[in-house]
Amino acid sequence: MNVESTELFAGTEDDPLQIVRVTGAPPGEVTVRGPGVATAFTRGDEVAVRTSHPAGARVPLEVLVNGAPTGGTGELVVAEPGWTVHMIPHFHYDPVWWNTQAAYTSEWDRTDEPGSPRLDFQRAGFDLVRAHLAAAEHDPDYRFVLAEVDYLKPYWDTFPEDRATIRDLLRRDRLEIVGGTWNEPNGNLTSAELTARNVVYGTGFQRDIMGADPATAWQLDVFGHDPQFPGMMADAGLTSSSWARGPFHQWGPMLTRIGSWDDPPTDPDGMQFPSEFEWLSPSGRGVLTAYMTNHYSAGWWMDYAPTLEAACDAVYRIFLQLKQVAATKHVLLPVGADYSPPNRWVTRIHRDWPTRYVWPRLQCSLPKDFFAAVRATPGFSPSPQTRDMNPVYTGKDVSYIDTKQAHRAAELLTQDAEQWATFAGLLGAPYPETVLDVAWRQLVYGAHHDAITGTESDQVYLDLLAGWREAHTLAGAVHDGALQHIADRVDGGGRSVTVFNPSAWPRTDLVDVATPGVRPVDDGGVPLPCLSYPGGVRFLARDVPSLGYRTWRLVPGDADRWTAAAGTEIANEHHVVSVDPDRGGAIDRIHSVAEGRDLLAPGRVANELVVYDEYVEQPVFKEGPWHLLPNGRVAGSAAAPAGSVLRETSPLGERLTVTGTVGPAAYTQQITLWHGVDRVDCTTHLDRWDGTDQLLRVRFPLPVGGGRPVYEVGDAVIGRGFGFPDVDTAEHPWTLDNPAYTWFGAGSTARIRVTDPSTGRRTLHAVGVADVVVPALDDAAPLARDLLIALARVGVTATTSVAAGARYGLLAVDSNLPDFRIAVGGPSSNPFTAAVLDAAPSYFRELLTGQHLVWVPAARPLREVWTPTGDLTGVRDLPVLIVAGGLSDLVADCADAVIDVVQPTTDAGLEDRTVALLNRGIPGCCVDVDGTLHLSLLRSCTGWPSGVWIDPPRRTTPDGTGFQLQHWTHTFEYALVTGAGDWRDNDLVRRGHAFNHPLRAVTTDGAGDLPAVASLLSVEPPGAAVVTAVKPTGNPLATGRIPGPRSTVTVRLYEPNGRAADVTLGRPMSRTDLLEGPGVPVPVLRLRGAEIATVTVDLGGPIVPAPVGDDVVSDARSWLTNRGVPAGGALPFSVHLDDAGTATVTSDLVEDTITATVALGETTHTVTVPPLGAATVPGPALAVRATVPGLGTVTDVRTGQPAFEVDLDTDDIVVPAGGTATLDVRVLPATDLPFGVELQPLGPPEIWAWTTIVAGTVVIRPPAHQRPGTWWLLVKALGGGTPVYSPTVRITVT
Amino acid sequence: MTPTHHHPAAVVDGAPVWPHEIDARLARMRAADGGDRLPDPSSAEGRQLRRWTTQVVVLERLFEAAAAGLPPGVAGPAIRQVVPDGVAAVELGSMTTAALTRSEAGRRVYAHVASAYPGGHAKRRAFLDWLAPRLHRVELGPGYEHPADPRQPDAEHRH
Repeated sequence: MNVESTELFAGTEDDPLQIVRVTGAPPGEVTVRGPGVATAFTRGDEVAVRTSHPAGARVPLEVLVNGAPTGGTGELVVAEPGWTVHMIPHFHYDPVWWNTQAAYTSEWDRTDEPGSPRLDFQRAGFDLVRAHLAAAEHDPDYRFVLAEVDYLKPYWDTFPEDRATIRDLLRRDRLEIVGGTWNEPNGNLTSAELTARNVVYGTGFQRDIMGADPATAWQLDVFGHDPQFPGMMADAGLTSSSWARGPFHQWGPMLTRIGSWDDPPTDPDGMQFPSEFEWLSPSGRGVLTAYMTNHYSAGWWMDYAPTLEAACDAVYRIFLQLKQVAATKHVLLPVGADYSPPNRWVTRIHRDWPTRYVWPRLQCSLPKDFFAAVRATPGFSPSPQTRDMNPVYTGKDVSYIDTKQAHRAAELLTQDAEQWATFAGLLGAPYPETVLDVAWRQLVYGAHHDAITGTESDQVYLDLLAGWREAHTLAGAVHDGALQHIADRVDGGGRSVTVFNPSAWPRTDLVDVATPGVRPVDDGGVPLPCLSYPGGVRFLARDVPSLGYRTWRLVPGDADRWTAAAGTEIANEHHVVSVDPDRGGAIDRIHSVAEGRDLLAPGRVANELVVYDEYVEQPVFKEGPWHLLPNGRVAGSAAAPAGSVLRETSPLGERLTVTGTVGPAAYTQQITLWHGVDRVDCTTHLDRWDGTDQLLRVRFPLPVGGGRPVYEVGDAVIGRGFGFPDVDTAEHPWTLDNPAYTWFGAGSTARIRVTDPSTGRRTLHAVGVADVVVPALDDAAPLARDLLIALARVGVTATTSVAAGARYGLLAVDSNLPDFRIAVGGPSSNPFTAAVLDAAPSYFRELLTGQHLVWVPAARPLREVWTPTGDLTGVRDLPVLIVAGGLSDLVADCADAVIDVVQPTTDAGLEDRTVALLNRGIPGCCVDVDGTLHLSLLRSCTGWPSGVWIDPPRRTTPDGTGFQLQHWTHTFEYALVTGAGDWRDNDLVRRGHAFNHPLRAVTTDGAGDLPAVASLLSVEPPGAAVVTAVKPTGNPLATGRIPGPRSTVTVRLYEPNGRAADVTLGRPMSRTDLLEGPGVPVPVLRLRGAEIATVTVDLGGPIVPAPVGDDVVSDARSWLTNRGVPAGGALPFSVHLDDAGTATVTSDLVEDTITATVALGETTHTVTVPPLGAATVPGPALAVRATVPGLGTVTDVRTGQPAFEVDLDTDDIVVPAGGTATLDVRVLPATDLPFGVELQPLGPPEIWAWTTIVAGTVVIRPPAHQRPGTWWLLVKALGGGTPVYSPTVRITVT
Repeated sequence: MTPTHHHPAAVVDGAPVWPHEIDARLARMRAADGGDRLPDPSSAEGRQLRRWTTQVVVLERLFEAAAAGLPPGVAGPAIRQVVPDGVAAVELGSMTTAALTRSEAGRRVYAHVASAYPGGHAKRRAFLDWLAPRLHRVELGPGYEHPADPRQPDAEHRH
């Protein structure tokens, strides 16, 4: 006989009756009884009881049959009524991953017959939307969410007949649109500004065009989140978020197991906080968040249940687990998986369950209902969390490194281009609004978590590369055109060079002038020191004003060149650097002049290239490119002598060039010290790389005593923990590498300053990540919220945990680890404080009698406990700051990033200095416990889906390997900066920004009328805020409107140092939100630390957008050729042919009526389309072309277009730098496609600048200064509804 | 969990489906048009294809057994009547759709089970309800799990 005390209730809400299940009893009517427990009724094996005991009470029971005791006993654990499970139907959608955009959007379902043998037990976007809409149509209880615009807009445009249905379902609360973003971006690999654009495009479509009200950010599968993300979502008007990855490894705290696939999900007892919490950014803003504890598919798998009863039981069992961490009596159960159709059982559960049970409720629900119920819970005050939701899937920071470098270059070029085009627009130039819109959209598309993360298959890599190339090319043209327009207006007093500064503070930096045979002169006419290179000259441009320019006269003349010199040491006024020819040319000395000391760990070398052998796939999880998988075998370049070492000098500085080989790499490294520049510039060229399942890092052993890792992230800086770069991931799966934005290093983001009252001696203790322990859950918000925000502002992220709960700091479960704890409350109020004091010397308890704040050091140094088996949960494992009172004083004390404690001290403490590496698009890095900085350069993966190709014939790199192996020449640029003090004292944010936004030079005849020196916009005081966007106000193309003239400019900026700042722009300004809605005038922008603000200013104008010509032609179904984004970008109108050859013109404009000229077959028609409406033109026709003046042209073709191939006339090109080579592109057979073929040249980013297609010929023209190297090129042809790829050509530049 | 050839791939109401029968079906698929697009047998996707194909074969056996109990002489409807569009294919799932395409017996069973229900959606739902407990009783050998069973190591690489 078995007696199970369930948490089910029959009866009514007023009289709930808990169910006890009795099985195996003798025949007859079964009842149970116990003290204060009586049976109300029995049905089958369910005995419904009534009890007066409180929830949690345990009451012994005896089992009776027909009123007589059986001898059977059991126990009633009194349960809580009142729980609700919100079953939320959804499907997770990736626009690309191993399969292509075409397949995922619509083509996956296009088979010759039903049920053809392809692995399609998931469906493409179109059929999914249709299926979920049909489920809602047939079943009045079906409610569901739709999210990603990557399928929503194509569906919306292709099936306008469903728009009314969708709006009706929205109106009746049967459908909720979630996300507010265009896709699910990995914001931790892009700029924060791009995330802002993602939400502008997402809400623009979902709110303005669809008429929905997205309130919940839906980032289900994103590999970790950037800390400023929730605050930015709040700034865009979203009020909640839900997602499945971040604070824990792999699939969350219930599913991450080592070695056993058969185990069911465990209880989430490793979680330190409830699944519903307030997720806060360093800016202090955030959103209520529901973490999907059992992954985003938790409720899906009951789809396979054989009966309704089994499905109900499966949901009930998941409920029992998820309720353990729910913050209220509401549980969010996501019912969907990747591309999943409507769940078979969900509405039947919704209908059947209430006929048997009154609690818990199992309801087919929506996120808005869930969050409303959570918020309405009396007394609900969400636990505050600023925890860094990283790292997840460390391989994502390194795989397909070329795409990350390309993305960084393209997004920053687009930012700068938009900025200069805005200024040019103020000077009367037409503003290239739609061109920039295409660039931003391709960047948003590429930010998806299966794109920028490098987890894609080979064909998808090529498709994505085309998008990044298009963004870069378009932005480059806008950028150069805008600079030329402004420079041409400058009065340079004759032939001159105008140098532009894209940053919002004055800068002095090197700049390249692409004009040979000239030299800039100073005000006295004396030529400045400069360095000649083929095609141009480089010089140090001083004092170029904020967001402005300075002009230098030019005189004819030859500049100096690099001159070979003896020795292995270089110097400038800031550093002395030498290399060791016997150790691969690695750096064996770095001396800081300002600090008067050498920085290298004794006996070690820096800038060494280290090759790590990797596993093909994660040994337990069987996954590849998104994990870093070192297997413990390591080879460094310092193990062998360098091939060569060359020292050179010039008027601008000194450099060392070393060559060598290590494993699969042949390298050339250059280290340059420029006069007047406080930076050690490093470039590593991989002249040859033919690794296989290998990772390449470069490392700098520059220990800072007591230092902690510090990372720049999107619009913020935070501390992080040490990594384990050298482990064997079969034994220790988590290397704790993390992605940085433009820099990372070692030092401190905040410190505890302990002053000894008797000696006055002070020691500093760096802190970076906190476990804030409050007595109980009810204390979390009242006690910890202000403290958490104050800490996050100065870079210390934190988890609020409770004394009796799980401790933050178990690497087997937690994705990252804290380095100190804060115990809020003295020993009498906080059991954790009591436990610390019990375990620590009694002296600390005595200290507490006299003061509020006591610092209890850890029992052992951090490096002793910070190991790959990481368990830091012991009370003495980490230092503890006990706050027994004066909490608001502590919060105020955080503002300067120094927390003062007065108590005796003898510790050595922190060396107050910083070392950091700036990067250009190389995000993956870590600092190990010895203080060595590791920067991941690239890796070669063969693990699935590397090598996967969808539409044969498969293409490869010229040596026959897949593109994920990266077998070609690479260039990596990074720089070392060092100095006393912390990252703020070293101005690292501005220096990282400057390293990524070079000064630009334009040569003109200087015959204009504008001053030779000017700032077009200044932030006062200089450096108080970093500007990330300058653009005409408003986003018409995102919100279904036609761009018109604008009289104000929007500026987005953020406070970089974590300190309050009052900022002005020198003009009247209004404060608005991230979506640039109506603003409020403010005389001064009062920024809190790490705050991101958007303002509008009147700078003159108006700025008039350039109209779109009729010759801008978009393919209505551009996803069929995996184009990412249509050629025209926003596609405010579209046209589609149905199977009968009838054309439908659709509008996505919300207020404008348009007139379209429609060429259909041999005839031309004119149709008028009302806002958000459609108009048909009867066919039949095989092709249609629709044009709207000022908005461009859209075409569509029927399927069944002729197949064609693309071929090139050679597979090997050798061309000298400065020379030219051409390749004919042959399209075979010469096609009769209605709208021709678009040809895209594809290759690694290094060749973009010098490869183009002109009239069907590839022109390869490497400039004279191009370094020799080997790359590849192929041509992608788009036309006729399928993409076609030429064979690959090897390109060698000599 | 490498499948061996000595253990049945599946057991359907006591009748084994042997690995060599799955091998033969896969060989025919690879030899047919579009066979070159099928994944490499040694890859995770190849193993998934084996599982997918096993499900289709299992379904065909279930259909044959069930059709044996139906009145003879009535031909099953054409596949386009059972699966008229993508929505229907989504509701049924690809394996059931593939099995119904190949198995006239399956379509006869479908017509019989669904006869009392109006409309395609209700018919398909009734058919799936009929099928679910029968599928549940099928035993699947190691390496032949349902492709989407999250407990087997080649399941979609994220849940």
